[in-house]
Amino acid sequence: MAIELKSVSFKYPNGFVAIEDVSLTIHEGERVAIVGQNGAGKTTLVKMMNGLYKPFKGDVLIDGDNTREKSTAVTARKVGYVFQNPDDQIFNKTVREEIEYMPRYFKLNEAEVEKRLNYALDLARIRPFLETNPYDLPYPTRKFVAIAAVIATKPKYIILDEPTAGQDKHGIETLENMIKRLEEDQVATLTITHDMEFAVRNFKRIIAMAHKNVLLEGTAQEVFWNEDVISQARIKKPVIGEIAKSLNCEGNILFCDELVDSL
Amino acid sequence: MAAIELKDVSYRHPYTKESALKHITYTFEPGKFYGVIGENGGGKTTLCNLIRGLIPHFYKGRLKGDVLIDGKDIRDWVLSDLSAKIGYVFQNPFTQISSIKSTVFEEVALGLENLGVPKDEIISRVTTVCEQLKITDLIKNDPNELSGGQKQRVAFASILAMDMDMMIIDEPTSQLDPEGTEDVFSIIKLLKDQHKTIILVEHKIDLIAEYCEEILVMSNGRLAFSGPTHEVLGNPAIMEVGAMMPQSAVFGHAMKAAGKPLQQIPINQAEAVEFVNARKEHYGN
Amino acid sequence: MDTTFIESFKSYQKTGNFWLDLNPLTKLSICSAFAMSALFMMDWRYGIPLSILCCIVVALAGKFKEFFQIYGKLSIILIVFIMIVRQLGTRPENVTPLINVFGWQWYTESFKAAWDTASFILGFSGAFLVYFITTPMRDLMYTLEQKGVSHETSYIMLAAMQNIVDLRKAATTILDSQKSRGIETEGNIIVRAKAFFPTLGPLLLSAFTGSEEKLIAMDARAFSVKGNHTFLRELEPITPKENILIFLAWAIALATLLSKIIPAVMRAVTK
Repeated sequence: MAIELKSVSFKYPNGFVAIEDVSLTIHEGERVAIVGQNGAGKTTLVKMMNGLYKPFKGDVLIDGDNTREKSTAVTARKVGYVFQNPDDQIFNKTVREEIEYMPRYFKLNEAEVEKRLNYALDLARIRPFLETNPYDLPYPTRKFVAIAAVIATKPKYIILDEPTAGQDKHGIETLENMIKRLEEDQVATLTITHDMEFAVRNFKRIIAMAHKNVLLEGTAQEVFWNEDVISQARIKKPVIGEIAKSLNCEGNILFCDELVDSL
Repeated sequence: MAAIELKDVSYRHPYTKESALKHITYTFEPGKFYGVIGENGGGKTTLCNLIRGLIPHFYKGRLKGDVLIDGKDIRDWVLSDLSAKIGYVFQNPFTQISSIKSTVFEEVALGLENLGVPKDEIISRVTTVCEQLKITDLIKNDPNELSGGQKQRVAFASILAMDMDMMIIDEPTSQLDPEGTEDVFSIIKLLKDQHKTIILVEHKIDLIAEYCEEILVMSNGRLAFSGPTHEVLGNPAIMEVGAMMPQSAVFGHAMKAAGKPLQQIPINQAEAVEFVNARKEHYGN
Repeated sequence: MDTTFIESFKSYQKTGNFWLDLNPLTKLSICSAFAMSALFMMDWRYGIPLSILCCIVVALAGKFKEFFQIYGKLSIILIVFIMIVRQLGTRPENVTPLINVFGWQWYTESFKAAWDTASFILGFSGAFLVYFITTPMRDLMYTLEQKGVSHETSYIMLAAMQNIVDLRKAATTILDSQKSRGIETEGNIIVRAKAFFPTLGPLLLSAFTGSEEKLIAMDARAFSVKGNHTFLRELEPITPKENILIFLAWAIALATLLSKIIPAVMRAVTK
């Protein structure tokens, strides 16, 4: 069971090709990060996974089903997507209503709705704001409301588009715990991020994108110690990595304790 | 004369019980580069709104204490005069685009038109600023059709072009990738070299550590810590109020804990490398 | 860097097309004059040629496609509608049979009256449509500001227009967002309606969120600073040649008015 991209290419209606011949697999329960400069095609790629975009060449298979043969809504029920801008996704008057919206749309019973609400609230840590209007909350907190609403739909795969933007320490910690807990619950997560430290700390598998294609996928060490990938994907080593490089330390060091031990 | 003086300032939003700012006393000197950090909801943006004069002129609410801009009480300033004096780049890139101009070039020029700058000067200033922010290939584009990151650059360019002596910059890189972030920070450094007074709110602590001279840590409406960058960012106590320590400082503390202390807690990469090399020379290991 | 583009701001904005480069107020005046003339004449022999003239002007300005997309649809709907309405019921002036459409008798008098009405509306609306298709709103606002309309008014008009465009984009985003949640939007009309109606609230909401921040953004651009504003993008003021064109247009309008009034007065006098 997986999300499979098989030689997919995507072209916008105006003719602009945003993705060229990408093949990728995201397995059930995996934790993956996508990095790369703005414009590399990250968001376009993930929108093909939730069915919003259909490839003009190649196939996208969700657990064996081709996205071209199903409506976006059907694919989206399996692959949840949290938009970059939470304001594109939040439509209800209170946080509670927003999270309960889809479980109620699916006509689930009250007990199940309550269960999903609590699960989402715990993961997103927004329980204090349950009866608040999302637009009265600060923007980074609204992001969590959008995430909670998607969690409540219980998809098998969740895509988070730049959840780290504008988050403070508490927000980053919440995201880290959330992703770990989702993994424990067999929900795969795919996170697009510009926060290199966050990527290194939390993901064993990182996909680096550049120029409409996947440049490299591998462990944090494989990606962040590959100078060619770094320059093409226009990413940066985490600070510890840069320090290690300047000190000519042995081994591909990315973590603080590794660096301390090596000195 | 101090650029901005805050004396026991407290502010409460209308219809709320809890104060957003509590008893803040601080002086901003002209020509210095200040970083404001802290958890979301801690008062960073409220502080910016205050210094910019939006509190009390735009946002009503209860303001106590004295706020002096160039020696004059903020209540005596007219908001439009402050907008000609203090530049303000704020967080949300989507609402900073005017929506009344059809090309990016004109968008960036808007502030200059309002200030009555002669046309030739407008053209040269806008051109320079577009080059600095690397948006030259976007100058003919419709500003409403840009991506979030592009809008953020255009918004920044628009304020930069106005060339104010004082700039308040609230999270200008939230939508940008590492390269874009570097570009913005190097421009802010240029502003610093031009001796402008800069107040920057950011979460990217490693970059704040590299460029700022003084740090303010806001927590729960209070000024929890303030002082020279080294002093504040090397202090582990800031983490208790929700601020993050730069990776270099975390490394420095880890070295200390492992019995390999450095001469000082480094707060940026260059220092970390320098101190480790110094230690190697000193101890031979 | 596109230096020609930047250099273009140093002189008056010109596209090279005669009609497009006329001052917005000149165009407004000319179009209004012709619209009025269609009203005065109320005759298909004037209205139809005028509509064709509109199409020609717009084609010469290079905007025929945008114009005809609206005008073409409008023409067909209007003509069919008025034709049918005019033929309904019995009228005393209908004496000359024209044609029999499946048992429904059509008369020449009604036919002519219908054409007169339809062509007046087409001529009138055509003239104004020519104006709006060939004159960007910002150009009009610029000239109005030169005449003393306030900066604030100009901003409100332009921002409102952009809001409408934004609303369309917002609708697409909202629909995408509904799909992404798992709400079915594809299928028969009932399914689509069910997906569409809940989006109306959020759509209106999206029009208003951020409006406070937009005001602050404008303030940050020194919008309310007192003193003279300068303009990066300038249009040429009305030239003497343009004044002649305006005069001619209104002379034609006056002539059409007189061509109706004078005979009527004569008839009244000689009775």
